[in-house]
This record gives sequence, structure tokens and C-alpha cells, in this order.
Amino acid sequence: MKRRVFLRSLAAAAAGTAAGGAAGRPVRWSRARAGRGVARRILPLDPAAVLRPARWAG
Amino acid sequence: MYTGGVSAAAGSVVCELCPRMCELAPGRRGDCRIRANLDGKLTALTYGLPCSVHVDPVEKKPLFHFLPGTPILSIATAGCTLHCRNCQNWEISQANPEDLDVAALPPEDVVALARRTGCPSIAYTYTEPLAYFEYTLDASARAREAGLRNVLVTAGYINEPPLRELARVTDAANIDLKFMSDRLYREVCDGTLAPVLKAIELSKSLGVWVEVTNLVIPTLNDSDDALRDVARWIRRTLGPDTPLHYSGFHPQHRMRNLPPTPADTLRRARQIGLAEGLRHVYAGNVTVEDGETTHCPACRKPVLRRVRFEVVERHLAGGACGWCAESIAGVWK
Repeated sequence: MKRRVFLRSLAAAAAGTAAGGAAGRPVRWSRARAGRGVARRILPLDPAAVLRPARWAG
Repeated sequence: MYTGGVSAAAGSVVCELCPRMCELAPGRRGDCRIRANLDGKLTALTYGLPCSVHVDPVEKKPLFHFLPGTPILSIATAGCTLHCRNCQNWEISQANPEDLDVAALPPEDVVALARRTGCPSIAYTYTEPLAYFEYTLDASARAREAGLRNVLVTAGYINEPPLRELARVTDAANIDLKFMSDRLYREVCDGTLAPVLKAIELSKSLGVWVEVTNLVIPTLNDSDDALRDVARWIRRTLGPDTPLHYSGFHPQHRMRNLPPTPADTLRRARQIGLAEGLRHVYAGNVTVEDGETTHCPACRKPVLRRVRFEVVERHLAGGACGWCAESIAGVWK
């Protein structure tokens, strides 16, 4: 059940951007992880990070 | 969303995007981790939510015959249609989207960001752009309208109908051809060979500029025969002007038991590719002298010399060799 609730919040965020919603309102989503203090979020885009080549391959 | 063509149990949906054809019960997600059945509707969980946004040199993709020396806005969301044991980007490709910080970046913002950062093109890369298909497609369409180009860096594991749709707005692709062996695709990548060959061939036939990468992994596909099979298939199917990048392996993820690819192996690979009749064969990811230099196929002089991801010498005039005027295949402007 937790996972399903979570998936809905993620899908809602994706639907928000699909509908032209902007960043801004940080959405903190939580699963079991949140209990361990590791909640992942929608963050504002970091312009400095954008201008660096990624550490990822490709 | 590429669903509905195949019958499924009540409440379930079949995702028809990639050859896996995952049947998703209500509330479940697919093998790629980013496509879920919510209320009987197939939903793209990472649409507009990239986990990585960077400006890279186009040479890093690697694309060596496509707008050389230009920056390219590179984006990725979580998820992949394959599960390669050697994945270099496994921390994002094999992650659940909820486990990564993301930015909200709808397609129109991707285009605006590319313009703001002076990028003439956008790459959908790092993980698998075909898994976050709808985001790739919509951003690509908007980029096209804005006069920007689109690049896929992909494993090519996709069904034909969605690939045909995406190819309409794609300018270039670097597609991995990991092995010429279905057995190795199954054992190492949890995929199959045939759809990848089909995707490469189809992309080329649909007018996408295609470069192919073959990761050379010691003991798996570093024999002369394996290297030759890749080059031979490319020459016969795509033509001798198709660039082939033999790339060095680094122990990663679930394949830390094998050593990195020696430079000598990549030198040998390059010689084999050239001997098979390919005109542009590169050796990358490991330092190999002249491994990343574009040579004129006629006079063999260097046309574009690269150090790491930077073009340091250029003898190219309007798509032709600056030394002898031989035409060099590629997208140069």
C-alpha cells in the first residue's frame, strides 16, 4: 500500500510537469526511506551543475 | 503510451514500448521501473522529472561526425529497458525514480535551457531515453520547432512502432551494439540481440545519423572474431561510412571480476574494423594514440583530432577534407 501511495505522488508530479507545471514547490516524497531520514525531493535546477559535464558516461 | 494492442487480464495493461512487453497488474510497474499501471492506465512516472541535466561536449556521447566541437544539453531520468551487469551508470539507470533527487523540467523548459546554455542540440542520454519515451518524444518535438537538433544515446531496445515515431524528430543517435551474440545479450544485459539490430538498421533507414558503440569487455567479446563480427555487420548493413566506436570497459556494478580493457586490445579492434572496410573506426574510453582522430578515408590525413572530448585540430571545410577535398560523411552544420 505504501508503494502504491508513493507511485501516485510520483505520477502526480510527472503529470504536473506534463501539464506545464513548473518547478518551485519542492515535493518531498517518502517511502519507508523517509523513516530513515532519506527522503528524495524535487529540487530546483542547479545552474552551476548544469554547466558541468556530467560524471555519467554517455 | 503504446499499450492496448495486446490483450491483458482484467485491470492489467501491457506496455508495448520495448520487446519485454511487460504485463502490469494494477499498481505495478514495469521492468524499466518507470512505467506503471495506475488505475488501469499506463503512466510514465518520470515524465518531466530528469535526475541529471548537464551540458557536455557532443564528443562525450560519443558522436564524432555530428556538429563536432559543440556543446549539447544532456538529460536523463531514472530507468532502463536493459539491466547490463557492467552498466557504467547503474546508480541512475537501475534506480527506482523515487530514490533519486530530480528537477521539474517540462519539455518547453528543456528547450529554453538548451537555448540559454548555447547548445544547438539536446541529448537524451545517460540512462535509456527509450524508456522515458514520452518525455524524449515531446521534448524532441519542441526542440525541432525551435530549430534545435535531437540526439539519442541508447541501447536500442525498443519495438518498431515507437521507434518509427521517435525517429521523425531525431537527428542523430549513438546506439550500443553490445555483442553480436544473443546468448551474451541474455546473460549480461537481460535482453536479446535481434531487436537491437533491427533498431539500428531502422534508425539508419529513417534518416537518423547513426554511430555505433561496441564496448569491448575482456574475455567476453574481445576476440578477433567478435570484433570482426561487429564491424562486418555494420559495413554490410549500414555502410562503410558509419562510424564505429570500440570502447574500453571499466569494472563496474555487477561485473567487477573482469579487468579493464587494455589499450592494446582497442588498438587491435580498431585495426580489425578498418580492415573490414569501415572508414571511421575509433577507440575510446582508454587512451589510444590517434584512437579518437577522424582521418580522411582518401588521403588518411587527420581531419579532426581530439584530445579527450575536445577537438584540438580541425581540417574540415564544408564537410570535406581540408587536405584533399574528399567528402567526409556526417552532419557538420
